[in-house]
Amino acid sequence: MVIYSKKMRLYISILIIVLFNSCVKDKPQDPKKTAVTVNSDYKVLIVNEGNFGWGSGTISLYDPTSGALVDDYYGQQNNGGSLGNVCQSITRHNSSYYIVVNNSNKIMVVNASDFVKTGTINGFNSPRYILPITYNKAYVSDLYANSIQVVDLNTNTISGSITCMNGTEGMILIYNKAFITNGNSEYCYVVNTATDVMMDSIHVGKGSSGICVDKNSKVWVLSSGNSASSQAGKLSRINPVTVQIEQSLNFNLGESPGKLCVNKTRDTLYYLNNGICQLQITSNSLPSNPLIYQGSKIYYGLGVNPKDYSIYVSDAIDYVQKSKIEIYKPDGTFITKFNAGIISNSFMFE
Amino acid sequence: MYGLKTHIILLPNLFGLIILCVGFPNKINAQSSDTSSHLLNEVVILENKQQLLQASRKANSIDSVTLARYQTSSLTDLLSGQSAIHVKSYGAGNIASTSMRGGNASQTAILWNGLNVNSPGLGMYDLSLVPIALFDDVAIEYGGGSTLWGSGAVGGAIHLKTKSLFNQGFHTKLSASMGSFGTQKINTGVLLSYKKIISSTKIYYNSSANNYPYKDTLDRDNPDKILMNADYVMKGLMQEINILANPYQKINLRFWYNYAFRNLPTNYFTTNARNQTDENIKLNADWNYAKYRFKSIIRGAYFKDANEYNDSLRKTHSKNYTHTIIAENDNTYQLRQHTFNVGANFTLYQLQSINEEDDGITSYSNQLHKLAFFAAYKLMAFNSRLNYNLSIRKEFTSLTEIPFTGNTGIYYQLWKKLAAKLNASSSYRQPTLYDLYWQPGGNPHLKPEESYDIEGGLEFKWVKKSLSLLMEGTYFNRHTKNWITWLPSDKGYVSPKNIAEVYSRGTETKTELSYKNKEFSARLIFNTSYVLSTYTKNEQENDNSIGRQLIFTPRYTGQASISINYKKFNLLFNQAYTGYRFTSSDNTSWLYPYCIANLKGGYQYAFSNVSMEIFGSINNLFNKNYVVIANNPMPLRNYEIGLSMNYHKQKKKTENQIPTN
Repeated sequence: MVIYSKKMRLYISILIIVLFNSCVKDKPQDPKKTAVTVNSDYKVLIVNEGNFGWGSGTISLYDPTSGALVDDYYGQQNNGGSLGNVCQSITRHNSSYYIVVNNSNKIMVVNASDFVKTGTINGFNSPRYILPITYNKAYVSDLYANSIQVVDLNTNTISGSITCMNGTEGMILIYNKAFITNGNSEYCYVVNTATDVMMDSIHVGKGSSGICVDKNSKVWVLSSGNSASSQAGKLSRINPVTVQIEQSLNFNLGESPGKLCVNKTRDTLYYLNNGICQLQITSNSLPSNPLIYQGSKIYYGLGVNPKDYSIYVSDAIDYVQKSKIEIYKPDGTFITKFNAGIISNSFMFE
Repeated sequence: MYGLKTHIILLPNLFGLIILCVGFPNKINAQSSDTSSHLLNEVVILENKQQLLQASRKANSIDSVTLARYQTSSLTDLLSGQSAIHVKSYGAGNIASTSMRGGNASQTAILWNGLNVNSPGLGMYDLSLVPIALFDDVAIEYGGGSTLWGSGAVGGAIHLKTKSLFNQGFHTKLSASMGSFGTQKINTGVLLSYKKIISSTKIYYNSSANNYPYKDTLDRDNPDKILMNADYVMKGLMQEINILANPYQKINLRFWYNYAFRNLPTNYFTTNARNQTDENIKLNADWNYAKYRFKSIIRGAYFKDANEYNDSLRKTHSKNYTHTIIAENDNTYQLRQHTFNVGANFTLYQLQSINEEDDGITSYSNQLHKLAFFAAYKLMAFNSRLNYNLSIRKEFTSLTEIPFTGNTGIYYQLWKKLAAKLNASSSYRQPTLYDLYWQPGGNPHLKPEESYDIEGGLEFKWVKKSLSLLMEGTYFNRHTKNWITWLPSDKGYVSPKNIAEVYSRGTETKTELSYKNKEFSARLIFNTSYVLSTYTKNEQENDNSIGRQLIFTPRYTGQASISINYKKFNLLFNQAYTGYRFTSSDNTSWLYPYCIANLKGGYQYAFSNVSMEIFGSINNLFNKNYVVIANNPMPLRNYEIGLSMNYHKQKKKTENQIPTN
């Protein structure tokens, strides 16, 4: 270009200074990839959903003793591979972990000892949870299929299905009966696991998902309700032998309780409802206040460590950054916090 | 109103050199325009309200010669290749939106002849649904323009315009092309231009199997894949009638119909087949009066946007309809160096939503109306070396208080070749109808987003005989509060909230070097943009996004293009760079930069009233494997070849052509 005069040079200099001031380096700093190996037999697997549609779901591995964390355990053990989109749940059975990947409509099977992929089960609509029934048989709940899929774990294929309205969620197995919650209906369904036939249903209220068994072998089902249709949430205690509700505790309309967990001795229940709530199984009423208020946080995942009673909760924050995992003692005392993956939804304690 | 202040810009101190630069290829075309070239190919820069009243803000127009090279493309391809605006594309033919100056997609206003056509439901416009073949001018305006365009013009605005020249005779055009992955494109136009009336009809039809190969970086076992279920059909019609009732009055009638059916691709992440249908009807009528120093426009418009989304596996079937009715009056009075502008706008939005799921049908409808008053003043002083402007706008809705918006700026000619611009503005974005009323989750208590913007720039122009150089550097700085974000609520569903504050600032450069002689012309264009757009406030305790770059917002973008015309040959090479984009708000994960090159070329042949052009393009010339949005693969190298034919029967030139809009 042509520079005419001193005046011009001055203008050009100003222009250049203005344009190139304080530029930041574009390349982000790679996170320190120290190959963390967690050897202690006491470890926690954290399921991180990842962003629906475009983000990778991950499993983080946390060692409570040393505080060491592997961000993406599957990626580390599988040469950088990805699980797929929206990791919903992880279940251990035999010598494998079954990781249900919701939006990718599949279940990834990894070796329990080293987390290396050994297989994939395909053909689902929108799988949520897997419940092992026998050594080679499992049920898979599904958000959009009108059936529970029966999976042959020997061949890793779908071997059959049990008709059930769409929206099936959490499942537990007791006395050869599978109790299956359903987010769309007002019922918890009961399947005879010997015949794979639906045998009964229990009215537990709209939006049931969380389900667990207490020390007296009673089944607890948490229904979140539906504020749009003025249906309040409910916590029901079911006798699995008679398949009858023994006790039912009602939430206030507008509350949306979720994520039911039970502690080591199976005498205390935990769930999220504007914070972490704690309930003795003998209690006749719901706690009026949470044990730990969530405040400005958005609690999303909950787990109770069966080894030491500690409570793990995830704050999903804005859903597009690493979740903050907070650990509390059962009396509500804060222990520590750390970052896991995007949208951590549950914990598996090993 | 808005876009209708129609003159050829002849304000020498304002945009003189832009016109000069843009004008060169025009002259080349003009030489052959009697016999060849494209329908409506003459370069006429249509002045819009921003250029008339707020010249202190950055703006630039994509010249018609470049536009002609993109005749078979969509706005997605044009902006990705010819501007430094970040275009967020989900794949070829798939949904695409913009990020201007660190804003999000709904902070860019898409304006059709000065009317905001962003979907009132989503607040944005899908750039893939805008075929370049229907338009004669695409212009980009930067920064907060709410005083002119109302809600949404925060990061900037993109103008789509048609022009109408009376007394041009009969003109017809047919263009057809074939490309990789079963892509077929055809567009045709008929122009009847008489002394008092013009009828212009344009039709286009595009279809593609769109089954392009890509490398899946996530699937280590099977990286070589072909995109499945991504086929599309798009078609549309634009009809315009312009009537010159008398020398002072003109009536414009416009109709634009657009239809698109797209299957949404399946990939490693999403395996279920989904599809989307968009149908848009736009009607616009205006009456223009211009006598002595007074100009007035009364205009009305009706838009219907229908969107249907199906996910057979998930059994989701949702239909959303929005209707928009606009009535506006805009008046300008010019007294020597003073220009005054006042007007009012009434807009009615209606939303109707039907969702069919397994457990039944939910449907709801809502409406919202808005009333706006605006006024502007411009002063040209010191022998037109100084251009000072002041604009204000106040809008009212039945719902929430809308902030007062204002703009003031100075354009000053420091020296013959150098001008300075300084501008301050406030702008706003009304929550969209989905933000307010979506069920479940819509939040009718949302406040509008408010932005405060300053920008300053220097513009250098140099012309010597057949060579010209234009350089412009701009710095901008914008604070936005009440930024709307959708977050899951304790009710169990997502809901929008005014939670964040965002600080965006950066620099932009524009360089255009042109050379022209009788048989040869060349132009080099170089645009860069450096944008830091970071969160400054978030009320969440564990949040780690403060001071970090917004997701999917590159800090660095740059674009360069070389265009060469020699005799009957033309060649356009462009390369666009997009830097790192973060995929998490704590900036711990990101996507890699990409630099994509395209090559377009053509050969024109003319005899008597007919001209023909054979054209072709190689897209993604260097065969780069890249994604714009995570896990939505873009096509590798691909090709297009086509033929266009023009027939032009010139009317006897009895009087001056009156360029109008």
